[in-house]
Amino acid sequence: MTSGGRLLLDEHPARLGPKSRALLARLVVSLAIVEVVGSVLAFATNSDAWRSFGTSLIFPGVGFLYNAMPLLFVLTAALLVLALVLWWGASVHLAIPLVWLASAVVPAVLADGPRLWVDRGTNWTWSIVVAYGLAAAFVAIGVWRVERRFRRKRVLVPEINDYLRTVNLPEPIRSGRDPNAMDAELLRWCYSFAFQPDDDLVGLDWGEQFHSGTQVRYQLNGLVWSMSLYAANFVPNAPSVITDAIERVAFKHTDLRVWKYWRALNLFGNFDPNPDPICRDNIMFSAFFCDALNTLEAATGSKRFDEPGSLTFVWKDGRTFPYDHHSIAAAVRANYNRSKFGFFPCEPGWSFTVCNIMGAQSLRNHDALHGTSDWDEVRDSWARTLDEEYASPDGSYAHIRSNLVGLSWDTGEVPGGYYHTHGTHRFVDILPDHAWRAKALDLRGALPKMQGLAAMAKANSGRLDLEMPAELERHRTSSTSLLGWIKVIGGAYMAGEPELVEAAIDASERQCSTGLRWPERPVKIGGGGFGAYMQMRWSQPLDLAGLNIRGYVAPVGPILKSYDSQGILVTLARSDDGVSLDLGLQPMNGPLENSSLHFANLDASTRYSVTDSNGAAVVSGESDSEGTLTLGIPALSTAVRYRLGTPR
Amino acid sequence: MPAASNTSLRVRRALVLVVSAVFPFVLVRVGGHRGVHMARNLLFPGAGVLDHEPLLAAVCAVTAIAATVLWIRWGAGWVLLGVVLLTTAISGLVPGHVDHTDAIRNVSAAHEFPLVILVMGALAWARTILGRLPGLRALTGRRHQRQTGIAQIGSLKPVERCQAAAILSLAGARESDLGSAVGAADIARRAGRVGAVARLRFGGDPFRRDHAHARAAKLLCGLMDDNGVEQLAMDASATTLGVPCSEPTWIRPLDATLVAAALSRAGKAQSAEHWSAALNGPMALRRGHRPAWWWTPLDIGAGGAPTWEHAAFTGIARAHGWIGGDDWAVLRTRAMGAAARGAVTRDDERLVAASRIWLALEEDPEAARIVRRPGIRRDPLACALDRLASELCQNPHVLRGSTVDTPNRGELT
Repeated sequence: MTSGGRLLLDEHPARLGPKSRALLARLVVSLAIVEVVGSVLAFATNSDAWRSFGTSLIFPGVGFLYNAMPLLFVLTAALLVLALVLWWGASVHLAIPLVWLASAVVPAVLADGPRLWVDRGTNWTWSIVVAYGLAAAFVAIGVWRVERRFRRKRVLVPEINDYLRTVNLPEPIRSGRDPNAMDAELLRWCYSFAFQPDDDLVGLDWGEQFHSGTQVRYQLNGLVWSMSLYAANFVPNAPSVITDAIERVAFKHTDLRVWKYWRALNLFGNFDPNPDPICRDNIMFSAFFCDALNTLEAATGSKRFDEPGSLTFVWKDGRTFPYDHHSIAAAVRANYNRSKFGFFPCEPGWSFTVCNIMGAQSLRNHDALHGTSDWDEVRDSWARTLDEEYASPDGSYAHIRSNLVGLSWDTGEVPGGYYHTHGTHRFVDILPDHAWRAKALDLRGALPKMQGLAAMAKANSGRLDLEMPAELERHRTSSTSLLGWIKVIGGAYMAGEPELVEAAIDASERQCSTGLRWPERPVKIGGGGFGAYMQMRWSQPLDLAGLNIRGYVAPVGPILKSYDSQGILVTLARSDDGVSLDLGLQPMNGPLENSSLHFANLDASTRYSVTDSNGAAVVSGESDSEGTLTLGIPALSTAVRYRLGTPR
Repeated sequence: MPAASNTSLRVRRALVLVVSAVFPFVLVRVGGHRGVHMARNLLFPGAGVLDHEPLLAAVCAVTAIAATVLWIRWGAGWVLLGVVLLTTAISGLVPGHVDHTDAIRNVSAAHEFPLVILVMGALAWARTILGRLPGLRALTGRRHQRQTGIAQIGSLKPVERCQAAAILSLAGARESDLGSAVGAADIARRAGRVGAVARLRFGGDPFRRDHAHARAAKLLCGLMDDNGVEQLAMDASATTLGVPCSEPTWIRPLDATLVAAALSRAGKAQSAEHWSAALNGPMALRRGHRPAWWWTPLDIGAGGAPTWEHAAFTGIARAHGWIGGDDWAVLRTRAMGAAARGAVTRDDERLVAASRIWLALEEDPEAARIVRRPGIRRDPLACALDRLASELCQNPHVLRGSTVDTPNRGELT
């Protein structure tokens, strides 16, 4: 529903989309059959074994109560919780049915066996009532919670639509930032990480690779995205070293340690022993990686991973799965084509909204870079799934849904299990109307807070004298205040408050700086949030969505073609006027004696000079007939700002 | 191949076969129920006294297993033979035997200590399997990570240190401590002990016979005089395969390849010719493997060389032009698997490094991209192989020098 070009909320939202409804109906019918069979066995037979079997079918484990074995009933309850965790955590879809079945078979077998505390052959017939009571309670609680949430959200629809009709969203920030000392430290860390040997992943957090927040894949994605933003926003005119660095980080995705988790998930969830991490499901790897490749290409123009087989995954027995940027995008598309649900799964059977947003933007931006039309062909079905299956009345979307039973729940990963948008581009490129609405809804509560903080900073000469409380990181093993600052910086971007962005960045440095270098981190945060923090700092003027929408644009003006990348850290290489080049240089590791910079893309046979921040000439020379020039620079012991230009 | 008489070999083999088959029957027929116990003991040392003296049986079994290890590791065959004969005799002498005439049929197919060999094989297999289990693999990995490259060559055991030094010398390395690594006292001590235990050689030059690895390293590192070279060449020509043994009666293919290369460099091309013929004959690739050993008394080769060793010795042989490129087809997938695993374990690191030797010689860009990825920086032997691979990348013909090329086999792609 739209009004004046604005996407509003449905005044009469459905409780479930058609596909979710069908899946849920299938589940309900299956459960009803089990209940009927259980009831028949519980009431129509005289055998204690069959009665206990039937009672457990009515509710798992109550057959043990029927046999006067309460400890085994408690054990069944514990196993059900474990099965639930395995279902969600490792896609073991049969875990709950198997526990349920076992909880029926075992009491039937033990029906004539000895009991603890009571006589052999004792039966607690009242347990049949308990079984029905528990079953009814579970269903009632589930339905009541879902219905309560639905009604609570539905009642807000008119008010939210009024807001959406009238709200004026702040303009995005268009200005660029100049890098400071912390930006240089963060960039130095990225280079140190990227240029370690190809088989090393030193500097990342390690832990289990399924759900816990220590997934190496996301940490690598975060680094590719951050460094791509830096390449596009800070050093577009010195692309050589940073391009190589991002390519190296992207290539690390093929390291077995990054993707071998998939074999177990595929085996448990799909009964498929194929370890290929790209071809089936696993959108949290394929789509995220494809998006990282899109971003790399949009920032640097790199075509390295367009080469067939340039991203070959090798399993531990030597089997190879050769892919490239195009074939990964094709695999994402093929998964969408195969999916009856519209979204395709991360872990087998579980489709996440955030991952499918990444899937959509990976197709859209691969299309933009290579002239394909995958997203055009998928968009309608994708958007229908989003709006019909995942949407809730207040414009938020369920984080997760089962492809097999149509259920959603709060996994604890995002507040309440719902969000207005997610992913690195927040719908901006794939569904702009949805992006606008999501931004409006996010700002509905946040804008006044951001404006308050901005006023506080302005009143204090751009300084925020605040300290954020520490929050637990996603892997729950450490906490950091930087997560709070990431939210403030992100909120400031959304609210279009560049002064608040700067003030929050400054305050975050003061509170969270560690003074350490790779492999330790310069700020106190885990590997998952580290990339997000850098993305927040480096998203001006282009954020990830803006960069991907723009695509690759070759730099104009002088280009710093080559330099001693072991000795010099180039923090800034930007030509705002297309004629001169602003440079930020500092020693990479320690003071550096004389070095030289090789420039290209200059006017032929023209005199150029390098001046310092005071305008004093440092060195000058005349470009050759091909527009290249090599200039020696004085010893470098601290950060300097230079400008290459033609003397007036 | 050297002129080991085929007739004599056939006679030796037939004799062993006949004795193996007949001896148990003779024991049973001649010794009655005592003979049955003795025949049981031949099947598995200790089994002959198991009924009445279980403790003694256990001692016999453990002793036999230890003797088998000694035989396989150091070539002390007579110790094993002695243990088997002694325990067999004990089986016949222990009192309290009852009649076991029915058991005759049970041992009719037995021959000397076959089950001991099976037990040893099973133990080796179990060790391999256990080493792959996640927890134990991690332990192996940690132990492995303590080494830190060629600089730690002295931390290798004598045999591997000699192999690493020889390979480094082939790669043209001139490390000052290479000579001291090869000339270390523990290498001579080991050679002396092996000679004393296996062949009762006491005193004199411990390297006068066998010890192919040590003598190859000494020759390649310039620590062997002309007399030593002549002695080595003579020792080599005395075996069917044209290379000296590593330990008495045992020819190990990596040591054999290194010693053939060393002799070839010293102008003794005959050893390389014979070894080349062996690699294309009795030691040829069969069902994806090459033999892990060659036992000279009966001239039989068997076992499957560990993949890294297979890759190493065939790679070096290939670089010399002694064999064709067939091995790479069977090593390729295993090498890529090791590279994918990250060369975390010692064997994987060696396999990856050895595979790089092959990749310097064969055109396989897809495998090269994968196999070149892991860093080789921990195990000194792996680092030596990697150094040789780097050298071959610069010049694939660097090892060909004075050696003989085998027509139709040696063309590098």
